[in-house]
Amino acid sequence: MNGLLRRAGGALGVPSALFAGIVVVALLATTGPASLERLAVGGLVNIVLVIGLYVFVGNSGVWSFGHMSFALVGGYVAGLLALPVRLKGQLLPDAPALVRELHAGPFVAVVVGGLVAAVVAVVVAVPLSRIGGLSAGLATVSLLIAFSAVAAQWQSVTRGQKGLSSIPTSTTMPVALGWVLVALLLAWAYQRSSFGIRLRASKSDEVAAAASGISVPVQRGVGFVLSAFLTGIGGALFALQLGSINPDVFYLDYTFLIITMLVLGGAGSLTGAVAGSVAVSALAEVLRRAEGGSLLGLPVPARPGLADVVLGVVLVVMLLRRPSGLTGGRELRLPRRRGERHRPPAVTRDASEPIALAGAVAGAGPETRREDSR
Amino acid sequence: MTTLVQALVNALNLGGLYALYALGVAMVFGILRLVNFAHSSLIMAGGYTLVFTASLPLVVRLALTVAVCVALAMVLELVAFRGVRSAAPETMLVTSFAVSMLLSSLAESLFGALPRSTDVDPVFRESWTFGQIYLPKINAVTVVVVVVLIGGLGLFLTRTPAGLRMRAAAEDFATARLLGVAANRVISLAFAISGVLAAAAAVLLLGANGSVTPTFGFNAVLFGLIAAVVGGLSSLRGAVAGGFVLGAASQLLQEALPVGLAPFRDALLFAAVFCLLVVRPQGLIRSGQGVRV
Repeated sequence: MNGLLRRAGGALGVPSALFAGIVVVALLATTGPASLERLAVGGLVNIVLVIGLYVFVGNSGVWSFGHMSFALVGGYVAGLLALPVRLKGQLLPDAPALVRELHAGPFVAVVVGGLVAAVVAVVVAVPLSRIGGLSAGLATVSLLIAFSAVAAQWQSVTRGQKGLSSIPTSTTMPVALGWVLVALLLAWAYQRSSFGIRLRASKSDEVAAAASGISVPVQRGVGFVLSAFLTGIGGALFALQLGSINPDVFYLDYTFLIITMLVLGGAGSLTGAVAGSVAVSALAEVLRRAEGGSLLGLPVPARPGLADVVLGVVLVVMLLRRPSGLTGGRELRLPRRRGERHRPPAVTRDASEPIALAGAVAGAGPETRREDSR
Repeated sequence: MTTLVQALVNALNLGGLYALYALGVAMVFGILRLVNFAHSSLIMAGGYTLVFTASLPLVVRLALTVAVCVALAMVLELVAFRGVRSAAPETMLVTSFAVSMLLSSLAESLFGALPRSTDVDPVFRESWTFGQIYLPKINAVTVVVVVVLIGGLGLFLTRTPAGLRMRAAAEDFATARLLGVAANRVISLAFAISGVLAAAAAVLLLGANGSVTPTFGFNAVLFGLIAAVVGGLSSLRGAVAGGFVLGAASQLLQEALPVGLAPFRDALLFAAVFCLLVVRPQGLIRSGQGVRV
């Protein structure tokens, strides 16, 4: 019994500590004005999207620049489901009956959005998982362009460039936090499962993994579909937060933002994905406020786009100086003292907070694989 | 008959442009294995140079555009890409993506997000008509410029010592260095050439569009990149061929698609590119010994 508890604690330590950190930051944001809370919810949605990308990129080592296609699919599906039937009749008179008449609550809409994205990913993954490296990266770019073009042209269902609007909004702080927790748990469970470990083996050495009996395409495909599911959820949450979606939101700019977050935190670990998205969201918010004001006593000129310039510089410097990101691809290292394993998780969370920060800043723990090797 | 000729003219023009973009990307890729998204920033910089020198004579403007593009290309190589030279190709790809986004936001904060327009030369707006065939002069200019640049590049690569060194570096970088090819100089040269190609692309694009935005050149490079990939990224011949194949395919789809499907031309085109990459990751033309550059 004791051993079981210890194992459960060890298994869930990292995601729960990360979640606790996210909750603290999100709650801090709710003390501010309403605009800040809205931004915080947006930040949480981005965390879901980054975790979604991480599940594939972090575990397989293959870069995808086309994941926003799945966010697009998830967003449109959820948006179409959440729109009231009467409104759809006016907005989309030419849509197929199925699209016009089907309606679902916000939770179901988000789940279905994710599932449809996953189904699309199955179709894509069958050919895509055969290739790796640069060809895969470029193939995913062309995928994104194709999806975006469809969203921009399929007038009868997506309303083309006009996009969908007046979707009832339902992504509130608790909803977003709930989905972040789901994403964390799914990503963690996957990377510790035999599937995740096999995929990571193929990342370290594709030939050796194949020689050990691992079917690299199958493992990549599994990771890709799960990752697309989470990205679809993220896209659905985005649509239901903003109340609108159009083909341009999930294009190269958003791809760049999500990749920045992942690279900055360290694409090799879940901790890195979360740390990167929190760090970039916080930095972007600070820069946005500093624009036209002052930062640490220095005057900052008011220039649109300046925040993006600074973000770009930070990313390029990071890639040059520390390509493995803030965390260096390591997971959070929790304190493990004898006899404390069965304490309530709340205590572990509190204790892990400073370590989470220290880990994110210093990035270097002497132990790297302890979580995986047990 | 007329439609056929007209379509052929359009395909040639589009293919020439794509080949120009693709060459710029493939030039750098051949030596460094770097997929240079930042090529779009060079085109954008060239575009803004033309806008800000609108009062000068055309020759000076063109010279300045080339100078700015070449200088920026070499600075980018020095500052951003030299540090990640030994990293994995995907890391370099992310770096070049970051650089291009950085420069486009820099342009936005310096020059604003609104389009800046300028007139390159009245020639670009005129056109000839032969019976029913409509031939804008810019199409002819485009084809001539592309042919001259490709021919010049071919001569440079095959007839000069520097070209020989570049081909050697593209073939096997480590061995070329062992035999005394200066790595930094060859890579700088490759970037400089891509800068010249970007300047030409900027002039032609601006001549056709008339205005520059911070994302100017981004779509061009995306198409060029895809064209280069279609042709086989590591061979310059492949890049040129890929450009013309993409241009012809795009024009063919335009003509052949039923009206209902016509808006989905780009979607179909890129879905086809996706399939091609999956089936033939090395591109249409596989680079063999000695024909890489």
